[in-house]
Amino acid sequence: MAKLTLSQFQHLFSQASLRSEEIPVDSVLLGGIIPGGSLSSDAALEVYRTGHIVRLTEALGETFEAVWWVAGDENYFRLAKDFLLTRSSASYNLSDFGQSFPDFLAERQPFSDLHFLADLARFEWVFKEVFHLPPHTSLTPDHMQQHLLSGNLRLSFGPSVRLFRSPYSVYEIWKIRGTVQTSLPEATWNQPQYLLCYKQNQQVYIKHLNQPEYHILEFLLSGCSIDEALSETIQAHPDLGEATVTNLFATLAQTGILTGLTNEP
Amino acid sequence: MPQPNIGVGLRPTHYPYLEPRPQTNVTWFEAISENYMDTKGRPLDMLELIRKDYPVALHGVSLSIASTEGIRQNYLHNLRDLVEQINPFIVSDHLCWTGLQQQNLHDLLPIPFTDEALNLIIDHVDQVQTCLGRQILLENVSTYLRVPEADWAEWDFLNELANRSGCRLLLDLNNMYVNAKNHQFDPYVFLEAIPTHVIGQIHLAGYTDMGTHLFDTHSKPVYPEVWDLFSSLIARAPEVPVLLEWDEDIPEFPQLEEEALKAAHIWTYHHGQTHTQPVSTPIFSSFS
Repeated sequence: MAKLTLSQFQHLFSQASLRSEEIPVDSVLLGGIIPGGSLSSDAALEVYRTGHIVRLTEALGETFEAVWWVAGDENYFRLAKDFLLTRSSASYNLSDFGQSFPDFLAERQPFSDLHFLADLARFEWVFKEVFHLPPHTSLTPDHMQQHLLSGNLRLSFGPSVRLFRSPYSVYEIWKIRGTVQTSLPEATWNQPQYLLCYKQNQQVYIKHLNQPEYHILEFLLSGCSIDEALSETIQAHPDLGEATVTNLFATLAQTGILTGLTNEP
Repeated sequence: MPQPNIGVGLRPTHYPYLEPRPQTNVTWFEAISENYMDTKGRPLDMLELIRKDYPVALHGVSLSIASTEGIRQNYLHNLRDLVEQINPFIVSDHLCWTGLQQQNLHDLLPIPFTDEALNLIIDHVDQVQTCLGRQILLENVSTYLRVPEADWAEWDFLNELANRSGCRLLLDLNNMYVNAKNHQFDPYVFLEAIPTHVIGQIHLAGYTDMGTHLFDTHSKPVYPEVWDLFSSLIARAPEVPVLLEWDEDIPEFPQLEEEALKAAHIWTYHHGQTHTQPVSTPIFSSFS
């Protein structure tokens, strides 16, 4: 048999490691290796194939801990295996693996009674992203006090600020991950949820918002001035009251998520 | 007079213990580069905190120096940024490839010890050392298969690589022992073939005996046979930094430290008294 080039060897080896078990290993590769110990050639390659599955399943499980908990071990391992055999990892960083896992769950809908699973996964990915984002220096309350009365103001936010919304109360599920539960009554998760995710002193915090607050913040984060954000929100929520706006700006002050104010038109 | 230079791997499970900056008996820490390259969160804060009190080595798992698809430039630049931020005393990775760029297997995969592989890796080492502006160390990996048409024995390949590329070797004695058993060679032939001037660091760890082969798990104490290899090497290389790796079933930090300090006792056996704190457990069974 002709000697394999390094590139040929690496491509055949990758194929062998990424295949599902029912697909046989390429005979050229099998003939081009000497197994270690008392392993057969197939078994030696299987060490790497199963190692790949275990490693990526663990990495996925570190990010999607609550999905794993809700699905249970057997279902989670099956889902993870299906996912990693169809979506290769293209990043050098193992913890990047799984960005499309929420979409995979949304497409598959693996459990007829767990409609929230894809959204729970989406929340866990957001949480992971926020965890790794840089800290920021918050505006002082005094600085905010001086400027917040102007409607032309545009607000700058810390890089770790994220908004999350879902038709399901996934944060409530996430909070009880790892606990012993015999069932998840629908009442615990079948409510829409609007969340502000942010970081302070390297801790990730999650704060509940109501729907109008969420929309105002969404506009502010997109670069709208305060006046623009309020008038856009009023169109969707004609009953938007002063109390909601006051509460939201109190939240902005308390959470320390603002980093700057500009008075540009 | 040299002192034993014993470190342990910095692992998230020990952050709560290390955060109040307790006195420890290790002299340095090794951090997995990828755990800190893409984060501005708590892990990086912890690394910076540790760096205030200890020298740190950065040890990568994703360089993929033997990949025929080349070195990922974004990886290299992110590594360079981390190196500039942390100023480690050692930068290392593995003599392996980790998968294809679009199909990363995230594993330390075996290379054929051929001229083709050697020339490719030498080019890549040059690229990496030029980008980082410093020498790197490459570690021998555990393997469960090998390619028959090799031009070199593993130890000769490593020597040639070090001599021609200017990198040094991170000699993992556990991997050396695992390969010796899996591929049926005498580990002392390997060990004695490596001149001490190319060894920049030593790794110690525990493997798992799978019945059919030895598997590099980093989940157990160092085996007596590996301590024996260490004793043989440290007798002639007293200044080489030594690191205990433990990545699965990780013990509490004091137990990890105690295991690592067995290396200091062996060092002392060969090179005399030191200021290292004594440990209470026996060193290892086959050494006397």
